[in-house]
Amino acid sequence: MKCTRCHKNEASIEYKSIINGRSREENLCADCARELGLSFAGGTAPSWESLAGMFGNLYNPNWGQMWLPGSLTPDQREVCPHCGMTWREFRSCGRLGCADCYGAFADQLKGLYARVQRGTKYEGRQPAGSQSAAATVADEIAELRAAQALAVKNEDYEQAARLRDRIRALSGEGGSK
Amino acid sequence: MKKDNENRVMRPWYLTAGPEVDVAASSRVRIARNLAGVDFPTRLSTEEKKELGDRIVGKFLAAPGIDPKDWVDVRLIDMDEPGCLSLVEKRLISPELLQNRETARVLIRRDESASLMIGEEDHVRIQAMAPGYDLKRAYDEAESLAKILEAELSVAFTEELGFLTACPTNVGTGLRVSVQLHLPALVMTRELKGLAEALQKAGLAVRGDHGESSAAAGHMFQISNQCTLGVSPQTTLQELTTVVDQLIERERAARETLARHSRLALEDRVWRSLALLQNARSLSEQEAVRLLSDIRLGYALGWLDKENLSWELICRLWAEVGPGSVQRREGEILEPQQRDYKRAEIVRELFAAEREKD
Repeated sequence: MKCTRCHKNEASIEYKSIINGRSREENLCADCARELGLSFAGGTAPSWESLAGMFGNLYNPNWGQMWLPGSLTPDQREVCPHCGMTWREFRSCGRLGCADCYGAFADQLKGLYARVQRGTKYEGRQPAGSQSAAATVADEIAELRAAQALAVKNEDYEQAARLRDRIRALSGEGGSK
Repeated sequence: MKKDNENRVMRPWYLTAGPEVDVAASSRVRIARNLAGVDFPTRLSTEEKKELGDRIVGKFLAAPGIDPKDWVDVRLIDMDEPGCLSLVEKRLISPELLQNRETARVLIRRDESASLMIGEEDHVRIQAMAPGYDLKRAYDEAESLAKILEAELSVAFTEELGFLTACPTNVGTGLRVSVQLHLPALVMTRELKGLAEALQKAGLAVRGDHGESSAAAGHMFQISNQCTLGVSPQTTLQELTTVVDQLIERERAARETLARHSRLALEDRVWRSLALLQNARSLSEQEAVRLLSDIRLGYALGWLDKENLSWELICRLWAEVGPGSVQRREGEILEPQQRDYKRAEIVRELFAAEREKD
């Protein structure tokens, strides 16, 4: 969507204001928002706190078609530290940005699960393969190391060398994974 | 599809009549997976998406248990419009994948019973299909492909939430199981509406096939699970099976009722539809699907079994009347009117080929 002020840049900030009882919706680009004196540095979007402070608690998004209609509560202002996805952005597009979003929005998502899912705890199998295979290799290496130590203690250096070679071979395989 | 010397012609899965074919057209299982340490597709650049495709395709085709000759690797950007559309019509790709055509990629098994969509909403969507009512077969197949992929590439997973997906409505098992049912009698007796509402309350989705207007004309409906978190795959399958069993029984009962009370009217409709399909010179997709629905019902009731019909022909006709398939056969993009002439011609040819078989 284009900025409703300059009609040139992509809008990145949406807010609703009520002035003298008349509500107004604006979609601004970062430049226009800065020109209007919305205080934030370096072209990044203002925090919801700063917008809320500026316009009073007037932000009332209408993108809650599916989930949790209503205005933002403080915990909905969260941003995913990994990919920068905001809860608001997720609410408008319905897609999370990365696996870390699940942690960043854990509380908000619980409310969503209550509506669209059967529970909040996974029921099913573990992922197949690599992890468990890696664990098996690690276990085997640990066993071989113990046997190697025992061989050294018993001064059976031939056996110790054989074990060392097997450990090397196994760690090599593990390392290339 | 890529043409190469190794292009083996395989009989498509959908030409085989599966269990409960009189009501159940097909079963499908879809599994969503994302790679660990890679952002979900919404956050990836075009380049990153292409790299992701290369990585997944490379690992999958080199995996033990996978014969690369069984799979066709398709970049949608290299495929013409009708080709892409026909993949959607065959449900080998989703309409969403087509929206990301620039980077979208799909691995298709040569018998068309399985595909891996890369660069849709999630990194990978594995799907397997089986003819008729055979959820176990489709599930086992999709699961085995998912496990092969998981063994090669570590996937986004937590103990608490299971497999992580771009949309939290899929998180957990990432599993969507569905059965495509032909329910003309439940539509005619107006029972379906009430049933659909009850099913939705029970957490299942009822959709017209492909969500297109022609689907309603064809009386094809897709019944699928909605929940993926807090419910195990086994329970998901079991719950859907319970419901589908009942729907199949209800449909059969409704057919009996119709056959008893309105036999002449229904028979007339079925025979007229057969005559139109065999003789029409122009068929819109919607009309073709409506007529096919009638002969499918007539054949299931045993009224048309001596008329050079077979489940294979009915399934083939159903697969060939979509606009993508019609144009792909013709090899060019056609105006709607031309398309309707072409469609009627294809239908007549398929009937003629069936007659020659005997």
